[in-house]
Amino acid sequence: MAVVADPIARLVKELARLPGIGEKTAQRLAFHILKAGPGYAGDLAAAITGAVSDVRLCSSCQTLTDRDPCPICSDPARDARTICVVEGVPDLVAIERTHEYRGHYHVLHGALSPLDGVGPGDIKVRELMLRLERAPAEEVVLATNPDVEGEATALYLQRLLKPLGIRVTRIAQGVPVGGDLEYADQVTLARALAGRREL
Amino acid sequence: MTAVSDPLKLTGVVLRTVDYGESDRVVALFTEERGKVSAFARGARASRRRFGGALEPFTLLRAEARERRSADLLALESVSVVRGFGGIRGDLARIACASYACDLARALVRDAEPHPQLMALLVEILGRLDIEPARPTQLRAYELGALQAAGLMPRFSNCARCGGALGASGSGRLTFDPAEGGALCEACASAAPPGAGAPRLARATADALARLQAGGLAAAAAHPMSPGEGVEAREALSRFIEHHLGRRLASRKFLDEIGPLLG
Repeated sequence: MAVVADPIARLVKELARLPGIGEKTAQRLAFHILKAGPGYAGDLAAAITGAVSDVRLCSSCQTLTDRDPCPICSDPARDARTICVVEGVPDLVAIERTHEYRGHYHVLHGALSPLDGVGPGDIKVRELMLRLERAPAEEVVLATNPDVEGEATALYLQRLLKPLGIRVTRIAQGVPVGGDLEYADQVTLARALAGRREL
Repeated sequence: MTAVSDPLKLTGVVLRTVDYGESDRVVALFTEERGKVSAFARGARASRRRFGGALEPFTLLRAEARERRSADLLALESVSVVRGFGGIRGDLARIACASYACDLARALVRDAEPHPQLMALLVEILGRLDIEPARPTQLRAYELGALQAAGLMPRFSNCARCGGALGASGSGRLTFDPAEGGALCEACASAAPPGAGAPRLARATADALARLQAGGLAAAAAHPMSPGEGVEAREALSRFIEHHLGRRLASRKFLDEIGPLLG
């Protein structure tokens, strides 16, 4: 005899497929949904199906949006001649939170990963090149992560973009603001020294 | 998931990392003391304080780790960088070659079996890639050295089937049979030919590979292969490695995809 009813077991199974959710957390979420009542369950289900059916990729920058072009690409106040390339939508959100950047974006939806066999054909590189063919940019800021995958992606894009006469820049790397040199790790401090600038 | 033992002191190269949950990371290390091990680095993604930027592929580090009760993974407690090989990260070809070197080492050895010869070879090629450009001959020498350390030695000096002289001097070409373990003499190749598409080698390519087998990475620097020899040698060794691993390495696929751009 099953310990829990089949519909609950099915809900737990589906929730446990989400990243970072194990069997126990899935069970806790399932019982929370049941306890919250049919109104909440309906809203949750509608939100999930609505997001899946209404959200698509912006045809220009490839971010997730319910409007095409997305609000950033269609904002006339933003500088379309500067494109910041990021690995994922959360990175775009992080840069937007700085309120320091007023250009456009391009979301790759991944990074080159030699160890996982992820090559240029697996991320949105072709879309970036087509976009630049249609509307040339003056500067492309490579804001991929400062890890091996992010560096490989930035170096690959640099090789494609430089011959087009585009100014290619890379976000700086080093000691965080408010940090203490004494406690900075060797790798980060070495990068900060390598990327020092004249005052 | 409680750590139960005294800390182990390990020196090793980070082969790869895999994110785990919200803030943790599983790290594959190739160590002098225990060969290939996997370690759980709690909080490695959320906090830079404990591990800093050390848990990146290719880094040679000293680590303290503990064995955990009923768990295959070690618990990584602290690390310090011995050598970061930062020069590799500034060049796409070097990243691709270093990734392949780590991936091949990882695929050729079993867990928890020390391989000092392969460990030294991996550190040597990472050291060279840190300060000089990636070169195809260098990668072939590494492949041959890694295969030898794993107990596999393709034969290029005499026939892999009958042990006789290879012949095919001058413009003649040899058949390379991954299943037999090397180049075949003309008589053996025609008596029982290997499957369709078996790589063919010029005698000069077989001689160059034999030289690399004997001389290692130093011989690669002293005697670079011609482009034609390089293509034949890459194909033969790729097929040999795939035959023994039963699969194509992901990093090999990446190298092939990126290769044309690297010139």
